[in-house]
Amino acid sequence: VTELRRCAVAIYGEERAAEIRLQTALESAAAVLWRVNQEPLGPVGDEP
Amino acid sequence: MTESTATALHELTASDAARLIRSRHVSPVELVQALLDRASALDPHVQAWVRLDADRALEAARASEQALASGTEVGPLHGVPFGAKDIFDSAGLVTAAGFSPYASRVPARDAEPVARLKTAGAILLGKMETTQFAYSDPSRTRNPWRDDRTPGGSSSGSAAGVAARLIPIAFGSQTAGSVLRPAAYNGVVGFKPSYGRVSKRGVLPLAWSLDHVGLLARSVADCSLVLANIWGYDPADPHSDASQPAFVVDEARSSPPRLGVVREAMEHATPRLRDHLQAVASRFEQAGARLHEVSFGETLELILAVHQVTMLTEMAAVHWQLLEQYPGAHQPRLRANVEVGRLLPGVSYVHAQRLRRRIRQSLRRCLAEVDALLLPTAVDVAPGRETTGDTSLQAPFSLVGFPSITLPSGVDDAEHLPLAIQLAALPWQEARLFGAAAWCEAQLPRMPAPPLA
Repeated sequence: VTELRRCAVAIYGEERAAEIRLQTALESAAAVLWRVNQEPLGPVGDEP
Repeated sequence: MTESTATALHELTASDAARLIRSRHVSPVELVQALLDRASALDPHVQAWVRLDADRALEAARASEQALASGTEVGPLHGVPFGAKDIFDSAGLVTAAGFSPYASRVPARDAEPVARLKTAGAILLGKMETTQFAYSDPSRTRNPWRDDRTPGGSSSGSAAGVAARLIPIAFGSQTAGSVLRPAAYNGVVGFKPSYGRVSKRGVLPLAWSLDHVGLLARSVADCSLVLANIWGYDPADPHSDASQPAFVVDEARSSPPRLGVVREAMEHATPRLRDHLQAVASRFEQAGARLHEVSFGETLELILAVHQVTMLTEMAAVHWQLLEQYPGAHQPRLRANVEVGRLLPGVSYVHAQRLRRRIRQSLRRCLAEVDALLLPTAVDVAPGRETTGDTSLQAPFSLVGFPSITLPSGVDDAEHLPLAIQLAALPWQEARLFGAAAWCEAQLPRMPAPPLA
Protein backbone atom coordinates (compact mmCIF):
# COMPACT_ATOMS: atom_id res chain seq x y z
CA VAL A 1 0.00 0.00 0.00
CA THR A 2 2.92 2.35 0.62
CA GLU A 3 4.14 1.84 -2.93
CA LEU A 4 0.65 2.42 -4.37
CA ARG A 5 0.28 5.58 -2.26
CA ARG A 6 3.63 6.86 -3.52
CA CYS A 7 2.47 6.30 -7.12
CA ALA A 8 -0.87 7.99 -6.39
CA VAL A 9 0.87 11.08 -5.01
CA ALA A 10 3.19 11.22 -8.03
CA ILE A 11 0.37 10.93 -10.56
CA TYR A 12 -2.65 12.58 -8.92
CA GLY A 13 -1.00 14.96 -6.43
CA GLU A 14 -0.96 15.02 -2.62
CA GLU A 15 -4.43 16.49 -2.22
CA ARG A 16 -6.24 13.88 -4.31
CA ALA A 17 -4.12 11.03 -2.96
CA ALA A 18 -5.14 12.01 0.58
CA GLU A 19 -8.89 11.85 -0.11
CA ILE A 20 -10.71 9.14 1.82
CA ARG A 21 -12.34 7.57 -1.22
CA LEU A 22 -8.99 7.11 -2.95
CA GLN A 23 -7.35 5.89 0.25
CA THR A 24 -10.03 3.24 0.67
CA ALA A 25 -9.64 2.10 -2.94
CA LEU A 26 -5.85 2.01 -2.55
CA GLU A 27 -6.03 -0.14 0.57
CA SER A 28 -8.48 -2.54 -1.01
CA ALA A 29 -6.37 -2.83 -4.19
CA ALA A 30 -3.19 -3.34 -2.18
CA ALA A 31 -4.80 -6.25 -0.33
CA VAL A 32 -5.87 -8.09 -3.49
CA LEU A 33 -2.60 -7.31 -5.24
CA TRP A 34 -0.69 -8.77 -2.33
CA ARG A 35 -2.89 -11.89 -2.38
CA VAL A 36 -2.39 -12.44 -6.11
CA ASN A 37 1.36 -11.86 -5.92
CA GLN A 38 1.68 -14.30 -3.00
CA GLU A 39 0.24 -17.16 -5.02
CA PRO A 40 2.96 -19.33 -6.54
CA LEU A 41 2.60 -20.68 -10.06
CA GLY A 42 4.69 -23.29 -11.70
CA PRO A 43 6.17 -24.82 -13.62
CA VAL A 44 6.33 -21.89 -16.00
CA GLY A 45 5.16 -22.91 -19.45
CA ASP A 46 4.87 -20.93 -22.65
CA GLU A 47 1.93 -18.81 -21.50
CA PRO A 48 0.69 -16.17 -21.79
CA MET B 1 -58.46 -9.53 -22.98
CA THR B 2 -60.35 -12.80 -23.39
CA GLU B 3 -61.26 -15.42 -20.78
CA SER B 4 -58.16 -17.41 -21.66
CA THR B 5 -55.94 -14.51 -20.60
CA ALA B 6 -57.48 -13.77 -17.23
CA THR B 7 -53.98 -13.02 -15.93
CA ALA B 8 -53.40 -9.27 -15.91
CA LEU B 9 -51.32 -8.28 -18.91
CA HIS B 10 -48.47 -6.97 -16.78
CA GLU B 11 -48.21 -10.35 -15.02
CA LEU B 12 -47.52 -12.27 -18.23
CA THR B 13 -44.09 -13.80 -18.68
CA ALA B 14 -42.46 -13.32 -22.07
CA SER B 15 -43.16 -16.96 -23.03
CA ASP B 16 -46.85 -16.63 -22.12
CA ALA B 17 -47.15 -13.29 -23.86
CA ALA B 18 -45.52 -14.68 -27.03
CA ARG B 19 -47.90 -17.65 -27.06
CA LEU B 20 -51.01 -15.55 -26.42
CA ILE B 21 -50.03 -12.93 -29.00
CA ARG B 22 -49.38 -15.60 -31.60
CA SER B 23 -52.79 -17.18 -30.91
CA ARG B 24 -54.30 -13.66 -31.04
CA HIS B 25 -55.65 -13.86 -27.50
CA VAL B 26 -53.55 -10.83 -26.56
CA SER B 27 -53.03 -7.71 -28.61
CA PRO B 28 -49.44 -6.41 -28.68
CA VAL B 29 -50.84 -2.86 -28.70
CA GLU B 30 -52.87 -3.54 -25.55
CA LEU B 31 -49.87 -5.17 -23.90
CA VAL B 32 -47.54 -2.26 -24.68
CA GLN B 33 -50.17 0.24 -23.56
CA ALA B 34 -50.78 -1.69 -20.33
CA LEU B 35 -47.07 -1.57 -19.51
CA LEU B 36 -46.87 2.14 -20.35
CA ASP B 37 -49.85 2.78 -18.05
CA ARG B 38 -48.19 0.74 -15.32
CA ALA B 39 -44.99 2.72 -15.74
CA SER B 40 -46.97 5.96 -15.32
CA ALA B 41 -48.52 4.62 -12.13
CA LEU B 42 -45.54 2.95 -10.47
CA ASP B 43 -42.30 4.16 -11.96
CA PRO B 44 -42.26 7.58 -10.32
CA HIS B 45 -41.61 5.52 -7.19
CA VAL B 46 -39.57 2.53 -8.45
CA GLN B 47 -37.52 4.55 -10.97
CA ALA B 48 -36.59 1.52 -13.02
CA TRP B 49 -36.99 3.25 -16.38
CA VAL B 50 -34.52 5.90 -17.37
CA ARG B 51 -36.13 6.49 -20.76
CA LEU B 52 -39.32 5.10 -22.27
CA ASP B 53 -39.73 5.01 -26.04
CA ALA B 54 -43.52 5.03 -25.98
CA ASP B 55 -44.27 6.32 -29.47
CA ARG B 56 -41.98 3.95 -31.29
CA ALA B 57 -42.99 1.01 -29.09
CA LEU B 58 -46.67 1.63 -29.87
CA GLU B 59 -45.87 2.00 -33.56
CA ALA B 60 -43.98 -1.31 -33.49
CA ALA B 61 -46.88 -2.94 -31.62
CA ARG B 62 -49.36 -1.76 -34.25
CA ALA B 63 -47.10 -3.18 -36.96
CA SER B 64 -46.94 -6.47 -35.01
CA GLU B 65 -50.70 -6.59 -34.85
CA GLN B 66 -51.04 -5.91 -38.55
CA ALA B 67 -48.52 -8.65 -39.36
CA LEU B 68 -50.59 -11.15 -37.41
CA ALA B 69 -53.81 -9.98 -39.03
CA SER B 70 -52.33 -10.39 -42.49
CA GLY B 71 -51.00 -13.86 -41.73
CA THR B 72 -47.33 -12.89 -42.12
CA GLU B 73 -44.84 -15.34 -40.62
CA VAL B 74 -43.70 -13.94 -37.29
CA GLY B 75 -40.73 -14.46 -34.95
CA PRO B 76 -40.70 -16.40 -31.65
CA LEU B 77 -40.97 -13.20 -29.58
CA HIS B 78 -43.40 -11.41 -31.85
CA GLY B 79 -44.98 -8.45 -30.09
CA VAL B 80 -43.30 -9.08 -26.71
CA PRO B 81 -41.98 -5.91 -25.02
CA PHE B 82 -38.52 -5.84 -23.46
CA GLY B 83 -36.25 -3.36 -21.72
CA ALA B 84 -32.50 -2.83 -22.02
CA LYS B 85 -30.06 -1.52 -19.45
CA ASP B 86 -28.87 1.91 -20.50
CA ILE B 87 -25.43 0.68 -21.54
CA PHE B 88 -26.96 -1.17 -24.53
CA ASP B 89 -26.94 1.03 -27.62
CA SER B 90 -30.39 1.70 -29.07
CA ALA B 91 -30.74 3.17 -32.54
CA GLY B 92 -32.20 6.66 -32.43
CA LEU B 93 -32.60 6.59 -28.65
CA VAL B 94 -30.18 8.13 -26.15
CA THR B 95 -27.82 5.66 -24.46
CA ALA B 96 -26.08 7.46 -21.62
CA ALA B 97 -24.84 4.83 -19.11
CA GLY B 98 -25.62 7.25 -16.28
CA PHE B 99 -22.82 9.53 -17.54
CA SER B 100 -23.86 13.17 -17.97
CA PRO B 101 -21.51 13.91 -20.92
CA TYR B 102 -23.42 11.19 -22.79
CA ALA B 103 -26.84 12.78 -22.16
CA SER B 104 -27.20 13.51 -25.89
CA ARG B 105 -25.43 10.40 -27.16
CA VAL B 106 -27.75 8.83 -29.75
CA PRO B 107 -26.36 5.64 -31.32
CA ALA B 108 -26.94 4.99 -35.01
CA ARG B 109 -27.55 1.27 -34.52
CA ASP B 110 -28.79 -1.12 -31.88
CA ALA B 111 -26.45 -3.19 -29.75
CA GLU B 112 -26.33 -6.67 -31.28
CA PRO B 113 -28.42 -8.40 -28.56
CA VAL B 114 -31.10 -5.69 -28.92
CA ALA B 115 -31.03 -6.07 -32.70
CA ARG B 116 -31.35 -9.86 -32.48
CA LEU B 117 -34.29 -9.65 -30.08
CA LYS B 118 -36.01 -7.18 -32.39
CA THR B 119 -35.39 -9.55 -35.31
CA ALA B 120 -37.21 -12.21 -33.26
CA GLY B 121 -40.18 -9.83 -33.12
CA ALA B 122 -39.71 -8.27 -29.68
CA ILE B 123 -40.42 -4.59 -29.03
CA LEU B 124 -37.99 -2.32 -27.16
CA LEU B 125 -40.11 -0.40 -24.65
CA GLY B 126 -37.23 1.70 -23.33
CA LYS B 127 -33.99 1.92 -21.43
CA MET B 128 -33.53 0.90 -17.81
CA GLU B 129 -31.55 2.48 -15.01
CA THR B 130 -27.96 1.46 -14.52
CA THR B 131 -25.29 2.47 -12.10
CA GLN B 132 -22.83 4.69 -13.94
CA PHE B 133 -21.02 2.56 -16.55
CA ALA B 134 -22.29 -0.53 -14.72
CA TYR B 135 -19.99 0.00 -11.72
CA SER B 136 -20.92 0.15 -8.04
CA ASP B 137 -22.04 3.72 -7.28
CA PRO B 138 -25.73 3.18 -6.38
CA SER B 139 -28.40 4.30 -8.87
CA ARG B 140 -31.65 6.07 -7.96
CA THR B 141 -33.76 2.89 -8.47
CA ARG B 142 -35.71 1.59 -5.47
CA ASN B 143 -36.13 -2.03 -4.44
CA PRO B 144 -39.88 -2.71 -4.86
CA TRP B 145 -39.80 -4.94 -1.79
CA ARG B 146 -38.45 -2.33 0.62
CA ASP B 147 -37.59 1.32 0.06
CA ASP B 148 -34.74 1.25 2.55
CA ARG B 149 -32.86 -1.55 0.74
CA THR B 150 -30.78 -1.54 -2.40
CA PRO B 151 -32.18 -3.09 -5.58
CA GLY B 152 -28.59 -4.15 -6.18
CA GLY B 153 -26.56 -3.16 -9.15
CA SER B 154 -25.48 -2.56 -11.64
CA SER B 155 -28.56 -3.79 -13.51
CA SER B 156 -30.77 -2.11 -10.91
CA GLY B 157 -33.50 -0.83 -13.23
CA SER B 158 -33.75 -4.10 -15.14
CA ALA B 159 -34.14 -6.16 -11.96
CA ALA B 160 -36.53 -3.81 -10.14
CA GLY B 161 -38.54 -3.28 -13.33
CA VAL B 162 -39.03 -7.01 -13.94
CA ALA B 163 -39.91 -7.52 -10.25
CA ALA B 164 -42.44 -4.67 -10.25
CA ARG B 165 -44.09 -6.09 -13.39
CA LEU B 166 -43.11 -3.04 -15.43
CA ILE B 167 -41.63 -5.33 -18.11
CA PRO B 168 -41.48 -9.12 -18.51
CA ILE B 169 -37.81 -9.32 -19.60
CA ALA B 170 -34.88 -6.93 -19.63
CA PHE B 171 -31.24 -7.05 -20.63
CA GLY B 172 -28.63 -6.53 -17.96
CA SER B 173 -24.89 -7.03 -17.85
CA GLN B 174 -22.53 -8.69 -15.40
CA THR B 175 -18.83 -8.02 -14.80
CA ALA B 176 -18.76 -9.19 -11.17
CA GLY B 177 -22.34 -9.92 -10.08
CA SER B 178 -24.49 -7.28 -11.74
CA VAL B 179 -27.20 -9.55 -13.15
CA LEU B 180 -27.55 -12.32 -10.60
CA ARG B 181 -27.27 -10.20 -7.47
CA PRO B 182 -29.94 -7.60 -8.35
CA ALA B 183 -32.14 -10.46 -9.55
CA ALA B 184 -31.74 -12.11 -6.15
CA TYR B 185 -32.41 -8.90 -4.23
CA ASN B 186 -35.59 -8.24 -6.24
CA GLY B 187 -36.97 -11.78 -6.31
CA VAL B 188 -36.65 -12.50 -10.03
CA VAL B 189 -34.70 -14.87 -12.28
CA GLY B 190 -31.30 -13.63 -13.50
CA PHE B 191 -29.15 -15.43 -16.04
CA LYS B 192 -25.76 -14.92 -17.62
CA PRO B 193 -24.54 -17.20 -20.41
CA SER B 194 -21.02 -18.51 -21.09
CA TYR B 195 -18.44 -15.86 -21.95
CA GLY B 196 -18.42 -15.37 -25.71
CA ARG B 197 -21.91 -16.87 -26.20
CA VAL B 198 -23.76 -13.58 -26.78
CA SER B 199 -22.34 -10.66 -28.74
CA LYS B 200 -21.41 -7.50 -26.80
CA ARG B 201 -21.18 -5.30 -29.88
CA GLY B 202 -22.74 -1.96 -28.97
CA VAL B 203 -22.72 -2.63 -25.22
CA LEU B 204 -20.58 -0.07 -23.36
CA PRO B 205 -17.71 -1.91 -21.63
CA LEU B 206 -16.56 -1.89 -18.03
CA ALA B 207 -13.88 -4.64 -18.12
CA TRP B 208 -13.67 -6.47 -21.43
CA SER B 209 -12.65 -9.96 -20.36
CA LEU B 210 -15.26 -10.07 -17.58
CA ASP B 211 -18.27 -8.33 -19.14
CA HIS B 212 -21.23 -10.58 -19.98
CA VAL B 213 -24.63 -9.74 -21.45
CA GLY B 214 -27.33 -11.17 -19.17
CA LEU B 215 -31.07 -11.31 -18.73
CA LEU B 216 -33.60 -10.51 -15.99
CA ALA B 217 -36.87 -12.43 -16.26
CA ARG B 218 -39.59 -14.12 -14.22
CA SER B 219 -39.05 -17.71 -15.37
CA VAL B 220 -36.33 -20.07 -16.51
CA ALA B 221 -38.32 -20.66 -19.71
CA ASP B 222 -38.04 -16.96 -20.57
CA CYS B 223 -34.25 -17.07 -20.20
CA SER B 224 -34.10 -20.06 -22.52
CA LEU B 225 -36.43 -18.41 -25.05
CA VAL B 226 -34.35 -15.24 -25.15
CA LEU B 227 -31.00 -17.04 -25.34
CA ALA B 228 -32.32 -19.14 -28.23
CA ASN B 229 -32.81 -15.90 -30.13
CA ILE B 230 -29.62 -14.00 -29.29
CA TRP B 231 -26.79 -16.57 -29.03
CA GLY B 232 -24.19 -17.07 -31.70
CA TYR B 233 -20.92 -15.86 -33.10
CA ASP B 234 -20.61 -12.23 -34.14
CA PRO B 235 -17.47 -11.49 -36.19
CA ALA B 236 -17.78 -7.81 -35.28
CA ASP B 237 -17.30 -8.57 -31.56
CA PRO B 238 -13.73 -9.63 -30.74
CA HIS B 239 -14.97 -11.40 -27.59
CA SER B 240 -17.56 -13.48 -29.42
CA ASP B 241 -16.54 -17.15 -29.66
CA ALA B 242 -16.48 -18.56 -33.19
CA SER B 243 -16.09 -22.14 -31.94
CA GLN B 244 -19.12 -22.17 -29.63
CA PRO B 245 -21.45 -25.16 -29.96
CA ALA B 246 -25.07 -24.55 -30.81
CA PHE B 247 -27.50 -23.72 -28.04
CA VAL B 248 -30.36 -26.17 -28.40
CA VAL B 249 -33.41 -25.77 -26.19
CA ASP B 250 -34.06 -29.00 -24.30
CA GLU B 251 -37.67 -28.84 -23.18
CA ALA B 252 -37.93 -32.56 -22.54
CA ARG B 253 -35.70 -32.76 -19.47
CA SER B 254 -37.60 -33.28 -16.24
CA SER B 255 -35.45 -35.74 -14.30
CA PRO B 256 -33.97 -34.63 -10.98
CA PRO B 257 -30.46 -33.21 -11.41
CA ARG B 258 -27.16 -33.98 -9.69
CA LEU B 259 -26.18 -30.87 -7.78
CA GLY B 260 -22.89 -29.95 -6.13
CA VAL B 261 -23.25 -27.80 -3.03
CA VAL B 262 -20.17 -25.58 -2.91
CA ARG B 263 -18.40 -25.72 0.44
CA GLU B 264 -16.55 -22.39 0.12
CA ALA B 265 -19.78 -20.55 -0.73
CA MET B 266 -21.63 -22.07 2.22
CA GLU B 267 -18.82 -21.03 4.56
CA HIS B 268 -18.87 -17.48 3.18
CA ALA B 269 -22.65 -16.92 3.36
CA THR B 270 -24.38 -15.52 6.42
CA PRO B 271 -26.09 -18.05 8.72
CA ARG B 272 -29.44 -16.86 7.33
CA LEU B 273 -28.52 -17.76 3.74
CA ARG B 274 -26.64 -20.90 4.75
CA ASP B 275 -29.67 -22.21 6.62
CA HIS B 276 -31.93 -21.27 3.75
CA LEU B 277 -29.77 -23.07 1.20
CA GLN B 278 -29.60 -26.15 3.38
CA ALA B 279 -33.40 -26.17 3.66
CA VAL B 280 -33.77 -25.79 -0.10
CA ALA B 281 -31.17 -28.51 -0.74
CA SER B 282 -33.08 -30.90 1.57
CA ARG B 283 -36.25 -30.15 -0.31
CA PHE B 284 -34.54 -30.94 -3.62
CA GLU B 285 -33.08 -34.15 -2.20
CA GLN B 286 -36.50 -35.30 -1.01
CA ALA B 287 -37.83 -34.65 -4.51
CA GLY B 288 -35.16 -36.89 -6.01
CA ALA B 289 -32.13 -34.70 -6.71
CA ARG B 290 -28.72 -36.16 -5.86
CA LEU B 291 -26.67 -33.75 -3.80
CA HIS B 292 -22.93 -33.81 -3.20
CA GLU B 293 -20.67 -31.47 -1.33
CA VAL B 294 -18.01 -30.12 -3.71
CA SER B 295 -15.13 -27.66 -3.46
CA PHE B 296 -13.98 -24.93 -5.84
CA GLY B 297 -10.51 -26.37 -5.35
CA GLU B 298 -9.22 -22.84 -4.74
CA THR B 299 -9.88 -20.46 -1.88
CA LEU B 300 -12.68 -17.97 -2.47
CA GLU B 301 -10.27 -15.27 -1.28
CA LEU B 302 -7.87 -16.01 -4.15
CA ILE B 303 -10.65 -16.24 -6.73
CA LEU B 304 -11.96 -12.83 -5.67
CA ALA B 305 -8.49 -11.28 -5.58
CA VAL B 306 -7.80 -12.45 -9.14
CA HIS B 307 -11.18 -11.09 -10.22
CA GLN B 308 -10.51 -7.75 -8.57
CA VAL B 309 -7.02 -7.26 -10.04
CA THR B 310 -8.41 -8.13 -13.48
CA MET B 311 -11.39 -5.81 -13.15
CA LEU B 312 -9.46 -2.82 -11.74
CA THR B 313 -6.81 -3.01 -14.46
CA GLU B 314 -9.27 -3.38 -17.33
CA MET B 315 -11.58 -0.67 -15.92
CA ALA B 316 -8.65 1.70 -15.82
CA ALA B 317 -7.77 0.84 -19.42
CA VAL B 318 -11.40 1.47 -20.47
CA HIS B 319 -11.86 4.70 -18.53
CA TRP B 320 -8.65 6.63 -17.93
CA GLN B 321 -8.93 8.71 -21.08
CA LEU B 322 -12.61 9.51 -20.41
CA LEU B 323 -11.62 10.52 -16.89
CA GLU B 324 -9.17 13.07 -18.28
CA GLN B 325 -11.54 14.19 -21.02
CA TYR B 326 -14.47 14.80 -18.67
CA PRO B 327 -13.03 15.66 -15.24
CA GLY B 328 -15.65 15.51 -12.51
CA ALA B 329 -18.17 13.52 -14.54
CA HIS B 330 -17.45 10.09 -13.05
CA GLN B 331 -19.15 8.88 -9.87
CA PRO B 332 -16.84 8.75 -6.80
CA ARG B 333 -16.30 4.98 -6.51
CA LEU B 334 -15.79 4.53 -10.24
CA ARG B 335 -13.35 7.45 -10.37
CA ALA B 336 -11.31 6.26 -7.38
CA ASN B 337 -11.07 2.69 -8.63
CA VAL B 338 -10.12 3.74 -12.16
CA GLU B 339 -7.41 5.94 -10.67
CA VAL B 340 -6.15 3.06 -8.54
CA GLY B 341 -6.43 0.55 -11.39
CA ARG B 342 -4.02 2.70 -13.38
CA LEU B 343 -1.39 2.20 -10.72
CA LEU B 344 -1.40 -1.61 -10.68
CA PRO B 345 1.72 -3.22 -12.19
CA GLY B 346 1.33 -5.02 -15.53
CA VAL B 347 3.15 -8.06 -14.21
CA SER B 348 0.45 -8.50 -11.55
CA TYR B 349 -2.27 -8.41 -14.20
CA VAL B 350 -0.47 -11.10 -16.21
CA HIS B 351 0.05 -13.18 -13.07
CA ALA B 352 -3.66 -12.83 -12.33
CA GLN B 353 -4.52 -14.11 -15.83
CA ARG B 354 -2.32 -17.16 -15.34
CA LEU B 355 -4.03 -17.83 -12.02
CA ARG B 356 -7.36 -17.31 -13.71
CA ARG B 357 -6.64 -20.18 -16.09
CA ARG B 358 -5.75 -22.40 -13.13
CA ILE B 359 -8.96 -21.41 -11.35
CA ARG B 360 -10.97 -22.20 -14.48
CA GLN B 361 -9.50 -25.72 -14.52
CA SER B 362 -10.27 -26.15 -10.82
CA LEU B 363 -13.90 -25.15 -11.34
CA ARG B 364 -14.16 -27.53 -14.29
CA ARG B 365 -13.07 -30.35 -11.99
CA CYS B 366 -15.59 -29.17 -9.41
CA LEU B 367 -18.34 -29.65 -12.00
CA ALA B 368 -17.11 -32.97 -13.37
CA GLU B 369 -19.57 -35.20 -11.52
CA VAL B 370 -22.64 -32.96 -11.34
CA ASP B 371 -25.08 -31.22 -13.66
CA ALA B 372 -24.75 -27.91 -11.85
CA LEU B 373 -23.31 -26.26 -8.77
CA LEU B 374 -25.75 -25.10 -6.11
CA LEU B 375 -24.94 -22.15 -3.84
CA PRO B 376 -26.54 -19.03 -2.40
CA THR B 377 -26.68 -16.23 -4.96
CA ALA B 378 -25.75 -13.56 -2.44
CA VAL B 379 -24.25 -13.73 1.02
CA ASP B 380 -27.41 -12.22 2.51
CA VAL B 381 -30.66 -10.44 1.64
CA ALA B 382 -30.52 -6.93 0.13
CA PRO B 383 -28.53 -4.50 2.31
CA GLY B 384 -29.08 -0.73 2.64
CA ARG B 385 -29.11 1.77 -0.22
CA GLU B 386 -25.58 3.06 0.41
CA THR B 387 -24.23 0.00 -1.42
CA THR B 388 -25.21 -2.24 -4.33
CA GLY B 389 -24.31 -5.33 -2.29
CA ASP B 390 -21.64 -7.99 -2.02
CA THR B 391 -20.42 -9.58 -5.29
CA SER B 392 -18.40 -12.41 -3.78
CA LEU B 393 -20.70 -15.33 -4.63
CA GLN B 394 -21.47 -14.22 -8.20
CA ALA B 395 -18.03 -13.02 -9.28
CA PRO B 396 -16.36 -16.47 -9.49
CA PHE B 397 -18.50 -17.37 -12.51
CA SER B 398 -17.87 -14.00 -14.17
CA LEU B 399 -14.14 -14.63 -13.74
CA VAL B 400 -14.20 -18.09 -15.35
CA GLY B 401 -16.97 -17.33 -17.86
CA PHE B 402 -19.25 -20.23 -16.87
CA PRO B 403 -23.04 -19.83 -17.27
CA SER B 404 -24.98 -19.12 -14.07
CA ILE B 405 -28.58 -18.50 -13.09
CA THR B 406 -30.36 -17.33 -9.94
CA LEU B 407 -33.86 -18.41 -8.90
CA PRO B 408 -36.02 -16.74 -6.26
CA SER B 409 -36.44 -19.32 -3.52
CA GLY B 410 -38.57 -17.69 -0.86
CA VAL B 411 -39.14 -14.59 1.23
CA ASP B 412 -37.33 -14.04 4.51
CA ASP B 413 -39.96 -13.79 7.26
CA ALA B 414 -38.04 -11.32 9.40
CA GLU B 415 -36.83 -8.96 6.68
CA HIS B 416 -39.68 -9.38 4.16
CA LEU B 417 -37.07 -9.62 1.42
CA PRO B 418 -36.43 -12.21 -1.32
CA LEU B 419 -34.05 -15.14 -0.87
CA ALA B 420 -32.33 -16.79 -3.81
CA ILE B 421 -30.29 -19.77 -4.92
CA GLN B 422 -27.71 -19.91 -7.67
CA LEU B 423 -26.85 -22.66 -10.15
CA ALA B 424 -23.79 -22.74 -12.41
CA ALA B 425 -22.66 -25.14 -15.13
CA LEU B 426 -19.75 -25.82 -17.46
CA PRO B 427 -19.17 -23.51 -20.44
CA TRP B 428 -21.64 -23.93 -23.32
CA GLN B 429 -23.90 -26.13 -21.20
CA GLU B 430 -26.71 -23.61 -20.92
CA ALA B 431 -29.31 -26.21 -21.95
CA ARG B 432 -28.16 -28.50 -19.13
CA LEU B 433 -28.20 -25.54 -16.73
CA PHE B 434 -31.74 -24.58 -17.79
CA GLY B 435 -32.82 -28.21 -17.39
CA ALA B 436 -31.57 -28.30 -13.81
CA ALA B 437 -32.93 -24.81 -13.10
CA ALA B 438 -36.38 -25.62 -14.48
CA TRP B 439 -36.54 -28.72 -12.29
CA CYS B 440 -35.49 -26.67 -9.24
CA GLU B 441 -37.95 -23.91 -10.14
CA ALA B 442 -40.77 -26.47 -10.13
CA GLN B 443 -39.85 -27.58 -6.57
CA LEU B 444 -39.76 -24.04 -5.16
CA PRO B 445 -42.74 -22.06 -3.90
CA ARG B 446 -44.15 -19.58 -6.40
CA MET B 447 -42.57 -16.19 -5.79
CA PRO B 448 -45.17 -13.54 -4.93
CA ALA B 449 -45.05 -10.09 -6.50
CA PRO B 450 -43.42 -7.45 -4.31
CA PRO B 451 -45.79 -5.44 -2.08
CA LEU B 452 -45.44 -2.36 -4.27
CA ALA B 453 -46.64 -4.24 -7.33
